[in-house]
Amino acid sequence: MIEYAIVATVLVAAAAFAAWRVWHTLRVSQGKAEGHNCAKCPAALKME
Amino acid sequence: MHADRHTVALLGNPNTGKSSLFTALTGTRQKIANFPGVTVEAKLGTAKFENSEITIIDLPGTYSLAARSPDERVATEALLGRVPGTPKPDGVIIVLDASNLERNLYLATQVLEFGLPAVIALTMLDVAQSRGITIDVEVLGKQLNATVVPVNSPQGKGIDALKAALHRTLHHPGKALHVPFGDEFTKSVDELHAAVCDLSVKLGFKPARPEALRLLVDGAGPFFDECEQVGGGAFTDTLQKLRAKAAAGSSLALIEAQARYGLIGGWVAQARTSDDDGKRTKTDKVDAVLTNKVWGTLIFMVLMLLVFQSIYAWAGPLMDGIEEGVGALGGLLLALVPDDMPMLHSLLKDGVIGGVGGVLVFLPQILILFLFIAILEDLGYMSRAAFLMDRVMAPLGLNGRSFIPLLSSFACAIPGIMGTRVIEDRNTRLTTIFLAPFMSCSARLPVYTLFIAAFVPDHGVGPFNLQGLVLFAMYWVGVLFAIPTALVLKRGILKSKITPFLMELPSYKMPRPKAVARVLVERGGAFIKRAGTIIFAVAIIVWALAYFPRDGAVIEKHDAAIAASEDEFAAKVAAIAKDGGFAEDDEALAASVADIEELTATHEEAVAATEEEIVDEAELEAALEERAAAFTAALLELKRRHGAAFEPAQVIYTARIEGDEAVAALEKQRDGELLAGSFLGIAGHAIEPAVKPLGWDWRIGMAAIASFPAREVIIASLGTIFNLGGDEDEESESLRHVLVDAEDKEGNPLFTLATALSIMVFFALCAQCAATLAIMRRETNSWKWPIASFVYMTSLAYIAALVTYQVASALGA
Repeated sequence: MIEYAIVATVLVAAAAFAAWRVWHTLRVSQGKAEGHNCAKCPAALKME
Repeated sequence: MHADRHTVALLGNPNTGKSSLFTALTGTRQKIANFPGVTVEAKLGTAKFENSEITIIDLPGTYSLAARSPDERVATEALLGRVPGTPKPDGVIIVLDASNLERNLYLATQVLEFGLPAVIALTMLDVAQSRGITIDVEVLGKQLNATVVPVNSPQGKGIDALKAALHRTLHHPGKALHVPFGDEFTKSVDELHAAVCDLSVKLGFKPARPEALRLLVDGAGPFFDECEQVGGGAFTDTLQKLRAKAAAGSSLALIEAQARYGLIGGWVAQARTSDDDGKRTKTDKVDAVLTNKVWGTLIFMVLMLLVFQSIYAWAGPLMDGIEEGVGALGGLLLALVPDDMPMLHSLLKDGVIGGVGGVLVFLPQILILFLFIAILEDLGYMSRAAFLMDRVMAPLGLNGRSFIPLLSSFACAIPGIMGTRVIEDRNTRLTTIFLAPFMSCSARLPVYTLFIAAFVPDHGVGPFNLQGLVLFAMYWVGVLFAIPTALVLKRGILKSKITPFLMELPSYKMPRPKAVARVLVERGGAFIKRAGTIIFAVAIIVWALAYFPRDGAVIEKHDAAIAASEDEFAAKVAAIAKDGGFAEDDEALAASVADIEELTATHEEAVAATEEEIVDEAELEAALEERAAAFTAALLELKRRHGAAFEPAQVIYTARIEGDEAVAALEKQRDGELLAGSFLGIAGHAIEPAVKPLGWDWRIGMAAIASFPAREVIIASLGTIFNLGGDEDEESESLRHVLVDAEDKEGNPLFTLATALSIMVFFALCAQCAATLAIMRRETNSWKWPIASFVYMTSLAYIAALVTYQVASALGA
């Protein structure tokens, strides 16, 4: 039983996180949320 | 108490020493002002002089007041005091780089047209002097109708004089600069100014004349949008008529540039003297080579090759370290799981350790790539690379401004796409956004390195290594496909004129260890965060889909076969022992078997190490012969030591190996059948016909599909699927070995070089990044572009992978 409970908890948490990511990505696409702070992202080469 | 309070805007081109002047004027008392609706920010600080307190607004560096984007509009809005929460300036400090006077004066002429009291801060005089340039400050001041103060902010020179000049100037009204544009042009500006002033009630402010000038010349931008919104079609018609009248068949931008540079030319001729040809600085001399069409390109290519070579040369030991660390941590975790919890054991071993652990191993490669990017960027080399590549962009119909976002996209497409905001032309911007995901981002690096390390031979090609060369080539795959895409778009639906582009090449400087370290920490942190969040979540979901449902009948059938095989082995051992005159559990016999086992294992390890160390064939053969002789001698020694127990122990040892292999084969068969019957297996078999022509089986196909939210997920998915399918064994610790050992249904190697190339080409071209598509939607304000990008790139990836596999297979790869 404990085994099933642990595995089920991990699965539900992973599925909930994945669902939140989908929702969040959709909000980012509509400009209602910030993805990650792109202005501060070091991947953006700072060249003027 | 301060009697006088003023506000002053600080404005200038980028890289003119504006920020250090701001710090010299205001000290550390600064705060960031956020401008609503734009990504740029300005700093506010306070300078004190006698009994005056002057608030200084440090505006973002700009080459011109032409505002084609909201970000560029900020400078004008701030000069006119229209930014909410930011005071209206009573004056302006214009920063001029003495070594680049003409270009800096271009912005100055635009600012001086506003008629604000102005002081000129002349910076970089030391650079100008080193080039043999002398500037007569008095003469320049007279021409500009403003006080010119030479400053050297790092040394604090001229700061007090600048404050004093500012204090004097602020008590006298400024006079607007008159640039001689010609009658028709000037009249059109006046008429347009009157027209926009008529809209002032609806606009909520009274537009200034320089704004009307910009509107006339630019014919677009945020101010145009505002006027069009309140003035409607009548306003647009008036604007178009006036633009046509002012242009008189020519280009308005050209008329403006000619008038301003004409004026500037006259000023500079009188105020500046220089040696005959000016002294060339070290930067100029280095740039002559690095930006040379032939040498510069050659150096760029060699530099990039070295970067990719280093990724292989340096990452190996670090990866081994992480692999061992992950393995040890995994071992500790698994030891905590009781034996009667096989499902939890599998979740940890196959899902978490095999999945996420497999991704973490690639951290060193990400760090090495960003180490080079950070060093080259801080050194000032990246701007030279952009300059070089700018030449390549023009034939594609792309603005030079497109190159910087595309270069950024080699690290990550998201900031690349956001960086396209600086591109004023809509069609060019859309084309650049569309091309950004073609550039090989850092998420593709683990995919390339995994398959290259596993399937591309580790041979030398001249001074280079074949693996590094293939990695270098993979980075070009996206570029090669982006070129025809750009041509089709720019000559078809996204046609537009090429606008001129100015780019500053900053002076070279020693990379700052702190700045480089910051990039490494942030990029490394971001990679680990992704592994711990999205990759972890998808790996767990993939595990669940590949683990469930568990068919009890399959497990029972195979477990029975395994038990039978084990019984058979036990009976065999008993018979061998009996034949040799020993009891089944005889201690001497068991000790002999253990010694033989240990000796064989040590010998096999030594042989593997020798094979890895020695490259020369003849040398290797001799070394292996030596090892074999040593092994035989050690066996004879064992025989002497164990006496009668040795012979039966040797037979038992051989039987045990056969027994273990039989059990492993049965377990593999069981795991394979369970995986095939899982949700993932059922879906995988359904899609297999679609991926078969690419050289993939259903397991690779499902791992690729699971990677659509984020590319790195394929590493975790492959780890989970192949571990669950029983393709890992005791010796195959890393995913690389698991893939090399993986077999298809017929027992042939599943992955060949052709399969690996096909997978890499697919990943180089496919739009597998949900975040990129989301940002594309946001920046284009339409789903049309992300959908088009997804369909186009995925189709292209499929076709290219298909062709790659078929051609490579035909060539015997």
